[in-house]
Amino acid sequence: MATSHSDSETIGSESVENVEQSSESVEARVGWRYTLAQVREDPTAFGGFLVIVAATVVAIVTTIDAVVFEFLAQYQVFAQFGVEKYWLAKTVWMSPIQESADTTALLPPVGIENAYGQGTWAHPLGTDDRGRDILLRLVYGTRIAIMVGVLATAIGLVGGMLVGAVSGYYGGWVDDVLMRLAETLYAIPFLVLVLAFIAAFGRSITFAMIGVGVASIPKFARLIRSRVVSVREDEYVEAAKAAGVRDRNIILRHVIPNSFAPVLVQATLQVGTAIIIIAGLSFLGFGIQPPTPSWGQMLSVSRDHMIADPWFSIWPGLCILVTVVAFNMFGDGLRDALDPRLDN
Amino acid sequence: MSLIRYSTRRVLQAIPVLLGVVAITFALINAAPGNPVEIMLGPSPNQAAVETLKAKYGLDQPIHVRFWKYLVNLVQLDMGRSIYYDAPVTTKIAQRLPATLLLMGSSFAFAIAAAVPLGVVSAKRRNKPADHLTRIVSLVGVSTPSFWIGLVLIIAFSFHLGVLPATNLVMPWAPPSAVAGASTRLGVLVVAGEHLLLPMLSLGTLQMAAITRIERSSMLEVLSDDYVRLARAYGVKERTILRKHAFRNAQLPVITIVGLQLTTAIGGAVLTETVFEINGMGRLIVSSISRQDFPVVMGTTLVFAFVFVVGVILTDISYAYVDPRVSYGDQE
Repeated sequence: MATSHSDSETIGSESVENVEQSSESVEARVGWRYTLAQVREDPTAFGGFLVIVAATVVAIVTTIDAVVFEFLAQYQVFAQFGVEKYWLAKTVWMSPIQESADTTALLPPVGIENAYGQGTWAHPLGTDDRGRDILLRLVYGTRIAIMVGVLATAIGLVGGMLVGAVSGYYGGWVDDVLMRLAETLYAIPFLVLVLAFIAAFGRSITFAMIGVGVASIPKFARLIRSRVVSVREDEYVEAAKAAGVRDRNIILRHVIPNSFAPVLVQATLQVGTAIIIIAGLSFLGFGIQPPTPSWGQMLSVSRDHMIADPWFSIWPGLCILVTVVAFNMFGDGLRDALDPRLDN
Repeated sequence: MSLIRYSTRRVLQAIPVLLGVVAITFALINAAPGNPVEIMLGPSPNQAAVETLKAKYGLDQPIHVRFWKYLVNLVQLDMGRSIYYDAPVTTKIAQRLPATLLLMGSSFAFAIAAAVPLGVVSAKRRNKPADHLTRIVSLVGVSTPSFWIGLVLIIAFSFHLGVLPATNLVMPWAPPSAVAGASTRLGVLVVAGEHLLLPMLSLGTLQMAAITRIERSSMLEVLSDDYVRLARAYGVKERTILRKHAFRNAQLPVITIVGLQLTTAIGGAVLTETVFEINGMGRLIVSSISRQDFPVVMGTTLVFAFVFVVGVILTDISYAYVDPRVSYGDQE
């Protein structure tokens, strides 16, 4: 075979295989602390790390905020005190087109008269087609991007880890069947597979997320498998076997932890990919549904207002760009730290 | 001779994969909760009409029978009938495929043409400003959603500057009479080029960035190889080393990546077609999902998978052709 689909098909992961080959020879220098120290010394990786931390904090704060908002709304607090007292209200209030009788009481249509407002101190990035503050909606959209990107990757990671570990550890027909299956899933282009998944199960962010997760299982499975195949022959696994440790425990305690480094790199990069894909799905109308703000969905809305307000199309894309760049920078840095042989 | 054997083997190996793709897609589509017949007839159809339609689309038979029938028909290039268009799926796809292939082909051409020199220069001037700039461009390129690039390009070139059209695609082989603003063959080509430019840039940027990264790291690796160092020690000019020794050998990983990039390119095409309102396969699958037109969703998914698999086989074969060290697997 000249080039079977290698594990390095994703952007930026070109040397994942190199990590695999070299990590054995430098085992002594590889440890979490060593890796972290290396990443800290790499300014781009560290910068990426800081952006990820900042985005995660924003995501957590807005999630708490959303819960509080729901809670207050449920008890009709806004009807008494006015929704504008709550800073988040302008970002999430229902669209006037859809609102029913009781949402009017709940959430008065604030600010439709300042639609397409341009930058002022009150609204630094202006307001959108319904007069909502764009900056607040962008901040709020971080929540969806981070949460959905990480969860989708986690689904792919856990699924791929199980499939890959079982496949690599047992070998034989189990390996054959699982890998043929992975290869088949792999032959369907990523977004098309997710679209078929959504076509079958329905359009919602949950299915979009699960779809992206499932579609990335083959990638992780192949990577884990290739590691496991080499780890399987290592002495400590032999020793555990000789000591009568059960297969399941060998896989969970020895094989997976020792195969984890390249997978972590892949997972970091995959979060970035997942964020882009899910933004794309929201853009097509298959992900987040309005009025919940997400970057992809904001871009989708902005398409109809490109002439009236071109900047509205710019900001959400910049947010996606910055977040994904951060994940890629951190992932690249992590890879370089885990593979001392490469010296970029 | 053995290259032919290798190619044949590679094609044969793809058959079970494609069969698996058909099976998975079929299973997925049939897991769909919505009943296509109900969608066609509305909420409260009469029983006789339901039965007739079910018989028409073969939905009254058990799933394994339907699968077998689908396979048999597929071999004869029959993918069933579209519910929405009430026309054969293959006809719809044949209408839409050229636009998608034109878009993807041109964006790959742009990506390779831009990425190879960028990667080489970046590796040659490692850690100099040109290298830093290229690395930033390629990092941003792989991190930017292609559909957003499309939106930005439309705003800049169509709305703000007003120099390029924002929607549609014109096939360069269309007759001049069918193309607005063109009276000659050359005119058609110009109009087609104008329409193609923005979608091509929008879709090609990601490919360009990804290939640049591989090109750079591959060149760096080759440039530190022993034979390059030996050539340097002999006093061979750096230019000659780059051209004659390093460049060719560095292209092998790049070829692989080009094939695998097809999967992101196909996904990007779906989005780019939506942004630029191009009537290609991508828009067909998106609108068919909304209409729950399952035969079309199934057909487009299969054709996309087919395009991807064929692309990967072609890169594998060209890899084997370029690299004489590749054993064709005869000794395995």
